[in-house]
Amino acid sequence: MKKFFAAILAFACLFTVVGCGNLEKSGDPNHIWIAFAETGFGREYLEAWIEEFEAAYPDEEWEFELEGDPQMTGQINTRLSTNNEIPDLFFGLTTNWQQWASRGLLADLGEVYEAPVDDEGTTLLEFMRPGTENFGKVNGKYYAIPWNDSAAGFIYNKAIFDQYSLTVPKTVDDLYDLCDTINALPVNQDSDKNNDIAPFAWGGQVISYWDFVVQTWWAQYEGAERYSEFFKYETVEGFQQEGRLKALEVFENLVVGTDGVPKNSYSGAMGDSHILSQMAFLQGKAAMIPMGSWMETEMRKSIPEGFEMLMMPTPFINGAKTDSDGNPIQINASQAGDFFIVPKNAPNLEGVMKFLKFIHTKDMTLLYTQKTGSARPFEYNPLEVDGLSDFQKSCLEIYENSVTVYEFSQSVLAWQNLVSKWPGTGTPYSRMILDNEKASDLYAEMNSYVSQKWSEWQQIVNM
Amino acid sequence: MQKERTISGVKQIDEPLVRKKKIKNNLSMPRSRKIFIALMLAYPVLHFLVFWLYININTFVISFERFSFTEGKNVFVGFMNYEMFFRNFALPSSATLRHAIVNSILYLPFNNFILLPLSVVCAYFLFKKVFAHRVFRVVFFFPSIISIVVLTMCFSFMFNTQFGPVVKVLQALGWESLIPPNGFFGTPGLTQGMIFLYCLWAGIGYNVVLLTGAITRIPEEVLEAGRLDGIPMRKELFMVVVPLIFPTISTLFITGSMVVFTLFLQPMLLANGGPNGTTYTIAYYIVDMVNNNRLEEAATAGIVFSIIGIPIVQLIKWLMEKITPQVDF
Repeated sequence: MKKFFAAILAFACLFTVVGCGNLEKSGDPNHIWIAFAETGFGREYLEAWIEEFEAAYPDEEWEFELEGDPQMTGQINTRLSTNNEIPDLFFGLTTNWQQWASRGLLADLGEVYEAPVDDEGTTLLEFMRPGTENFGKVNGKYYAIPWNDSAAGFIYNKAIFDQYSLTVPKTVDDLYDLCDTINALPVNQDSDKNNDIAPFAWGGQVISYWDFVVQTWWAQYEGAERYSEFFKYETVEGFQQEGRLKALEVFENLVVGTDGVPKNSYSGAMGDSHILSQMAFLQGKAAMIPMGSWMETEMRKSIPEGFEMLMMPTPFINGAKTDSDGNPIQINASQAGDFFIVPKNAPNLEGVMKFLKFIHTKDMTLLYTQKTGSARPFEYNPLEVDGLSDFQKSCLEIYENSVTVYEFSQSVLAWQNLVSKWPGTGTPYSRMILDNEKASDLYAEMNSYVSQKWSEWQQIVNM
Repeated sequence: MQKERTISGVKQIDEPLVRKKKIKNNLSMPRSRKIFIALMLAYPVLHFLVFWLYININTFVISFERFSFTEGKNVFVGFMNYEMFFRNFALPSSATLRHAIVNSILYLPFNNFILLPLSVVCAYFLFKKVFAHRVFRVVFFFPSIISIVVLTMCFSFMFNTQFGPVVKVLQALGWESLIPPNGFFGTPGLTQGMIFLYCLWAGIGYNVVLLTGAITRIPEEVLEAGRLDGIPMRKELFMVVVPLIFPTISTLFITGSMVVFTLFLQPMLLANGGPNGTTYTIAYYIVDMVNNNRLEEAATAGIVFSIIGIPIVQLIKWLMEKITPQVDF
C-alpha cells in the first residue's frame, strides 16, 4: 500500500514540476501550433488557409495544431512571460501587446513585411492600407500584423423596413424621425407587448458596441485627420475635440430616456449580453442593431431561414466634414486592433514565418474575406470575392466606399493602458442612461480627468 | 529496571511505571521509508513553495515596479503604484472599485447569515427525511456538479425579459409591473440581488452535503433522548443539532468569509460586472486588470486588499474558534 501511495505522490510531484516547466514542442520543422482567439469569425478561415498551404507544398507533410479559445488574449501575457506553453503563432484581440515586444518576447516579423504578396513583387508593407503601416511597429521593428479590419455601424432588419416602408436614414435627423416612426407603428401601439418592434437592439453588458456608431459620428464631425490625431495623445488640448461631445449628444438624443430607462430600445436591453441582444434582433424584436460585419458569421446557427439583414452607412451627424463638392464624407471608424504575433521562442520559427508569408498573399486575403465576410486592412477589393451574401456585400461596400480611420496609437500612454478614447469614464453610455448624466458633463469630466492625470502620466511615460 | 517474580508458579515481569520512550535515530531508518516520507512531504512543500511563497513574493515585488518602455523591463518605482491607487480612489473613474469593495463586503453577511442558516435548515429537513427528500437532495446538489458557465447561462435565460420563463409567468399572471424595465440584470441594485439569488441557488447544495454529513454522525441515542423528552423539531434543530454540528458550521463560516476576497466568476458571467460596474467584486476588479495586462496595478490592489483582508479573516477565525464548543461523540 505504501508503495502504491508513494507512486501516486511521485506522479503528483512530477505533474507539478512539469506544470511549472516549459512544455514547448520542438524539433518538428513541419509542425505549427496556432493559439488563436476564437471569436465571431470562427475558425473556418484558418482551416481554409491551412488547406491551401498544404496544397501549395504537397511534398512537405505539414501538421497543424489549432488551439482556439475566446479568452486567448488574456492568456498570452502569462504564457509569454513564463515561456510556458509557447505556440508558434498567437492571434489575439486588441490589447497592449507592444509591452511584449519591448520586453523582447516577440519575434521580429520584418521578413514577413518584406515578403511579396503577389507575382508583381508587392511587399506586405506596400500592401497595407493607409493608416495601418505602423500598426505592428515598436522601436523601429515590426512585431505584429493586424488581423482583421471591419465595417461597423447599424445593421437593419430588411423585412421590417420593407414591410413598414421604412427608409434607410441619411442623417441623424432622419434617424431620429425613423425612431419616431417605428415607435408609432401599430404593433407598438396595441396592448400586446410580445409583438413590439423597438428601433434598436443592444446589450447593456457590452454597451461599448455603441462605439461603432458614436466613434463614426465623432470622426465625421472632426474629419479623418483630426480624429487620427487624437490617438497620438500628445497634449492635454488634443483630447478636447468637440466631435466627441457632438457624437455623445447624438447618443443622448437617441437612447437616453428618463428615470434610468433607455428609449428606442427593446425592454430589458440594459441587462442583456451581446448574444442575447443579437438574438432579440434576429427574432424581430428590433429594427436595427449597432454591430459589426462579423454578425452573420457569429450568429450563423441562430439566423432564421429567410432572415434578411443589411448594414447601412452610418447616418451623417450635423456638421459632418464635407468634400470639395460639399457632400459629407462617409467615414468608417474601424475597430481594428486585433493582431498576429510570433513568440521569440516559438518552437518552429522558420515554419511559422513561411506560413505567415503564405497567408498574407493577395489570394489568401481574398480567401479570408470569402470565409468571414470581413476584410483585412490591405489594399485589395474585398468585393471581388465570389459567393458573398447580401449582408456581407453591404458591409464591404461601406468599407470600400468610406474613408477608414483607425485608432492605432504609437503613444506609450496607450501602450501603458493609461488612456483610452473615453478617459476616466470607462464607457460613458451606461452612466448617461442609468444616472441621467449629460453628455456635456461627461465630456467636461473626461477633459478634467486628463488635465489632472497628465503630469502623472508623463512621469510614467518618461520612466 | 524490570523485576522478575513468580506468582502461582507463573513468571511475571514487573514493568516500570513510566516506560522509557525508545528514541529512534531517523538516519538509521530503512531507505524505502525515507523515500516514502520524502515523497509524502514533497508535494505539499512544493505546492507551498510554488503556489504560495513564490507567487506572493512575486506579487509583492511587482507592486513596487512599473514597466518601462525605454528600458524594456520592469523598473523599481518605490511606492508610486500605491500612491496612484489611493490618489485615484476618490476620482469618479474609480466608481467601479468602490462598488467592488461594497459588494465584496456584502458577500460576508450574505454567505454567513443568509446562505449558511438556510443550508442548515435544508440539511436538517433532508436528514429528517421529509417528503421527496431524495429528490430534493439531488436537486440541491445538482448545481454543484454543473459547470458554472452553463449554470449562469441557464439562470440568466430564466430571467430574460424577451423569452425567459419567469417573465412569461409574470406576464401570464398579469404582474408585468414586477418586470423591471431594464431587465433583471440591467438594473443597478437589483442585479446584485440577482447575483446573490444565483449564489443561493447554486451554493446551497455544497453546504447541504457537508452539513447533512455532519448531522448524520450525531448519535441516534442523543436524538432519541430528545424525542423521548418530547421536544419539537424546532428545539431539536436549534438546541441539539446545531450545537453538535457547530464545528462544521464554524468551518463553513470561515470559508464563507474568505469568499469575500475570491469571488468573481458569478458577477462576471451573469452581468459582466454591469450595469455600470455596479456588480464588480474585489477579485473581479483584480482579474479584470490582469486580463487587461495591468499587472503592476493588479498586484498593488492585491497587496492592499490582502493587508486589509488577512486580519479580518484571522479575526473571524479566532472568534469562531472561541465560540465553537468542543464536541465529542
